[in-house]
Amino acid sequence: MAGLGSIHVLVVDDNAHMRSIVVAILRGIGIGTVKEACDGADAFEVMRAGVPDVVICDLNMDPIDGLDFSKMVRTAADSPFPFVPIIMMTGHTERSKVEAVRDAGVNEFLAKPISARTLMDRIIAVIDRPRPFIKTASYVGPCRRRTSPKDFAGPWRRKTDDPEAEKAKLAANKTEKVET
Amino acid sequence: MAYALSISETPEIFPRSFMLQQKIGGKATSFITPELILLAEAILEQFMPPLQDQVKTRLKSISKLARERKENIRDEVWYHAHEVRGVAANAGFVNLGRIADLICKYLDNAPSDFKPDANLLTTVAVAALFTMQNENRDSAIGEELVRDCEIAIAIQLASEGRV
Repeated sequence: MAGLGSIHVLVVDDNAHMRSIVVAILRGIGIGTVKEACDGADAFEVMRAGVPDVVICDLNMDPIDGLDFSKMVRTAADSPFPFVPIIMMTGHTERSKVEAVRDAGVNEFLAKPISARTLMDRIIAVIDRPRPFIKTASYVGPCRRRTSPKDFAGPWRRKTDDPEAEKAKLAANKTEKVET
Repeated sequence: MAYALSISETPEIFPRSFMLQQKIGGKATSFITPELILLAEAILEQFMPPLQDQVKTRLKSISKLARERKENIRDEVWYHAHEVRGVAANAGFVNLGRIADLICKYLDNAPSDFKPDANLLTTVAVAALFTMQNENRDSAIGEELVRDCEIAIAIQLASEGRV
């Protein structure tokens, strides 16, 4: 089965009304499997029973909020699937909150009030525009760099990158392209 | 099967995975069409009246609890405010959601037997009701009330030594 019917989405929200809205939209557009969980701990259990393709999660939940849940998914030793794309819904659009969400390893941010279009846009983003997955001592999640600055001159992007090795790699790639 | 990631000092970069595109058999944009988005909007619209009712009911409960000034109301007030902040924006009450969030912030980390300041709670509940009633008419009033509630709660938290 191809198409949206082959996708499995998990919706995590402790507010039953918001959960039913998102679930109804997803089912309405033909998402094959839509499961629900009322908090982070419940979501973890649901994920263990069957790994979803996308998780849509609320930020303000009790007792485990969306940030803790995302960090658990990304870093817990018993995480069912640390790479799963996470879309975070929240009414908080302050810079500090957005940064906290980003640093928790969330793929996409969905500000409330949610509209069908913004929800669809985020689903499209995780399917059509995936980002490399980064694992460091302080961060596990999709690459937080969405754009490359215009003044960026080199191929290396991290402090630990070896500029000489990167230059050699770039030169080798160029030679390869010329040969082909 | 668990895919536990060990945390090491050396950064690891996993290349972009187009697994989901492969699973659905193409780009998501070819399946999520403008017609499908319109259908989703229509589904969302159906939820508006029950959401608005839910917000009004919970707000009335907060107001009643504040008015009655009973003991041990912290958990109940927090729960109603938490529910309101979760749905208010989608019910069309963005500023009300922010006020509900402020009520939660005031009660966050307080024990169940915490006695909320009755004057503050009543004032914020009145501001919330007023904001809800005027949300569509004048959002500037709502924004101003949110700011005032924010200041009032910050002052109260400071006076209770809970900053």
